[in-house]
Amino acid sequence: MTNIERLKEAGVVDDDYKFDEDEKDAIESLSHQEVNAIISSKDKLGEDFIKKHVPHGMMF
Amino acid sequence: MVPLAKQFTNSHLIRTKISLFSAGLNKAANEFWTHPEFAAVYPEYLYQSHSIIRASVPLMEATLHVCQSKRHSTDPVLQRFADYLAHHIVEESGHDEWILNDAEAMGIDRRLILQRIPKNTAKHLVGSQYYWIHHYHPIAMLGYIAVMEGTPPKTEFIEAVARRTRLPLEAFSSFLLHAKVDPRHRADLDTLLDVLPLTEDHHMVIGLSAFETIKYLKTVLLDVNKSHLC
Repeated sequence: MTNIERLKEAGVVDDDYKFDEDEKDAIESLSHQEVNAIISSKDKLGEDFIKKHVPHGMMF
Repeated sequence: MVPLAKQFTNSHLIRTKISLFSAGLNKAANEFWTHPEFAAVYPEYLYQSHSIIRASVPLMEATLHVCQSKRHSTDPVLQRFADYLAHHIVEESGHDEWILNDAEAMGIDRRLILQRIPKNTAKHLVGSQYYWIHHYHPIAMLGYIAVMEGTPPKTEFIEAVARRTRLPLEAFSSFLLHAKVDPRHRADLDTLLDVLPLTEDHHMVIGLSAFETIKYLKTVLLDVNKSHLC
């Protein structure tokens, strides 16, 4: 099972969300532990905010 | 682990991972900046932000100390990281004072910010890094730094927030100063990442540390966003 399939099965990625090639490669490079960490966060990927870079302001 | 279909630079891979998994943090940050009662939640933001930022230099000093310890003295990755930290610690010194200045511009006594007991989220965010660097591997700190310096604010953005909220621009001095220096800090970090001979294990630890940092920052902002209800 690929990482994207794992994320979709866990419900954190919508089935119809289209990742670009860089994103796909980055996701498939993730370790099992990293994928587990993402799934545990319960943040839904593929929402409008996935590519919207908002300054969180908690800077150094 | 599936092999990469093509070669990424270290910085590109780490930035892509962070970007992909920051949706929840970005949403919380957007809700903060557009909060209908921004003036009521901003003091809480300053307090929580200060709780985190005052730990930046001590955290980097602790990381530097571990990188320079006998245990890691022959690790070329950590020696390059140590060189970066020694330089960056100087650059980041005193930034917690900027937050206190902003609090004073909001009419808040800086001593109240300093004396208030920190929230668990700040302790978890910073404390988890101490665990990584002392008890697992100090390279984890790169994930923390990459998230913290990954989305520098823009001057126009902050000026627009001040106009919209009718708060004095002096209350946003920390953001305005960071808007000037953080793009270069981000570029410096990317340069470091790209010269480091990082292994897959390094990438995993940096990724896990970055994801934890994102998770805790999101929790901080969600907490700030509802602080006006308390």
